[in-house]
Amino acid sequence: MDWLIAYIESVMRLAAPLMFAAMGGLISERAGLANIALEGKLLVSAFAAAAVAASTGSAEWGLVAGVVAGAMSGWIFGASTVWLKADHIVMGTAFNLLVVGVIPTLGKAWFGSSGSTPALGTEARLQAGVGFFIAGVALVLILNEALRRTRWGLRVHSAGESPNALLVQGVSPRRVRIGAACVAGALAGLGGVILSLVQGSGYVRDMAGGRGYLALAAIIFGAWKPYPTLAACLIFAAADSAQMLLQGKSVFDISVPASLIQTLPFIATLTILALRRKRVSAPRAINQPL
Amino acid sequence: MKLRNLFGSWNVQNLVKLMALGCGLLLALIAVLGLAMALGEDALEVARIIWLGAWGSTTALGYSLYYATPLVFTGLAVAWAMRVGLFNIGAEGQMTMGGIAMVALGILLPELPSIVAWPLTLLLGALVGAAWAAVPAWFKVRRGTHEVLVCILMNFVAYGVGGFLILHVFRNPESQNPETLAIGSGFQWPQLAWMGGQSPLNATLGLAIVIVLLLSWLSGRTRFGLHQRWVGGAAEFAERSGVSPTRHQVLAMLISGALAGMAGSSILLGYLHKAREGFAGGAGFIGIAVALLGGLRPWGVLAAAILFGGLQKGAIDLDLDTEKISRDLATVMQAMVVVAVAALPLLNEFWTKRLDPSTSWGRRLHRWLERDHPQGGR
Repeated sequence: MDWLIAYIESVMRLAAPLMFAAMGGLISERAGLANIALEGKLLVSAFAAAAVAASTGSAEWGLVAGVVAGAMSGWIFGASTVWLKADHIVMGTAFNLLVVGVIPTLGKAWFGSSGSTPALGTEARLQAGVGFFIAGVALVLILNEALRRTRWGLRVHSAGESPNALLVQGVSPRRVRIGAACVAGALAGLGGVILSLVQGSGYVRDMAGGRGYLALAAIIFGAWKPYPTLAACLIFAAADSAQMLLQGKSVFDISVPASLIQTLPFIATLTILALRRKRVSAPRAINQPL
Repeated sequence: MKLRNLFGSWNVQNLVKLMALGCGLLLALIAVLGLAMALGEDALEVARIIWLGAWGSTTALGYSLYYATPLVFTGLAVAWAMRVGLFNIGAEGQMTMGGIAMVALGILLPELPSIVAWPLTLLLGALVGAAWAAVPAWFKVRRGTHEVLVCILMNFVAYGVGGFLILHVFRNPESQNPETLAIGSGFQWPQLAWMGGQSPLNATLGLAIVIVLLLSWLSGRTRFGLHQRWVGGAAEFAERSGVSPTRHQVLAMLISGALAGMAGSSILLGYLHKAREGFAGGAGFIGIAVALLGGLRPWGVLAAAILFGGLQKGAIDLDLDTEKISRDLATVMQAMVVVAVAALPLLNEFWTKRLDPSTSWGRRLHRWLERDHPQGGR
């Protein structure tokens, strides 16, 4: 049974960054901001955390830097999209492209290597075990209540469903959306920190590897509700851990090549999306300019 | 006055759009050069290297056009889908799968003469690309899942499956690199040395231009093209006129996938003559920027692709000639162009207000436009 325990632990570890990114994305999508830029936010904060941790030698400063970088990039994405009245998906694509270009440029100027940051020693990494997973579950519980019962949650909800209702109350839906984008960025930033300081030891090129998009798929599968989204994250993490477990092993005497196994989480996601026959509807005012 | 007559056939709306686009591109350029200066490089020197690197010699121009060729295909693919209201962000995966299919045919049937091999490879590439795009189309129509998400997931599947095919099925066992066996000589497209000097520019550029012509005709001169644009621009009108939006969305996605499926032809059939892992190199994503900058029109896409090919070549020269700047600066430039185009509604609004006949600028402009044509200029 040892392998089962190891497997479950691995699922919990891999689920943590997905959960934070998905909860961040959920907030911003509920506020009406389509957030395809999650992938870019994960990368920015993973890089910022690793770069600061490598420069200061302190994991805590890396954590702070990652979250701040996430929140800032959330603000940049949210504010530019809202103020420019741009299509959210086009802006999100631009943001992801920008990140892919800017990180290696900064990395080359900072560390002389365009691909990655220097490998971190143990003192500059966070030793958290499954702590982040537990924090993530707590976040889901809190978020579920906060979205339904607090004033902030209802405002986020209105910004995504009918922004005019907010205007009538004298609340600026633009501000609510940008605020939600900041919170989303900070949470995705935490996900990025987990990638580079907990799971990895430093930043490697393209280290999010599509997790931002998987988080988005989890939100859609979860019909923009916290608990089903959490379930979807766990399923994807289970597929991801299975993928890692299967690598280099042979199944029924056939060794499956790594490149094929790596598609497992994505194929699992597609299958799950295909099996869900009920059409779920996005927040009504998503991707509508204000 | 010849010049004014040229403007006379224009209306203020077009001028507004052009001003808006010019402003956006200028801001993008300032942002990129600002980044270069922040890194401690001389902005003017950077601009000079990009300019000369892109068009400075026959070989440089050839490289720019060579880099532009796949972008024409992916740009057209993204643009066609977007005119029908779909965002095909999966061109990268479609290009990967289509390209591998084309190379596979060239490896399996190396004896075929060019007259059969060329159309057959293109057809196969287009079919496989369309098949890869059929998945997001199905999800969109049957499950209501946003096509962007499914396209991205299909990209990751394509990386895995493509890597498997290149590394395990068609791998060249004698090569140190992750690449396939070579295709038959009948499958290879000729180089255009008279045009591109030492560069790998090849005849697939001609193919790209033929496809631009074809799509321009299909979109602007046929009933099918008109219906496609109805669905993108006025879905409710299309539906009430008996044009099925669902059917046309699926068809648009398939056409888009077919175009992206052929995008690898320049790299694979014209230059490498085999497939390498990651040969698409982001062309599918740059195609988004190309399509947006080209105003989603075939000729615009061609022009934007050539501009972007030049930027790519210029950025590679920057990588070699400067201390701190890597070729990733090209990606930053492309991202800023997308931001500039995304900001067009706002810039449009600004210039429309600025050039309204009630303002002093607008009054002058309208008076000038209408001097010879009392009815023109509106």
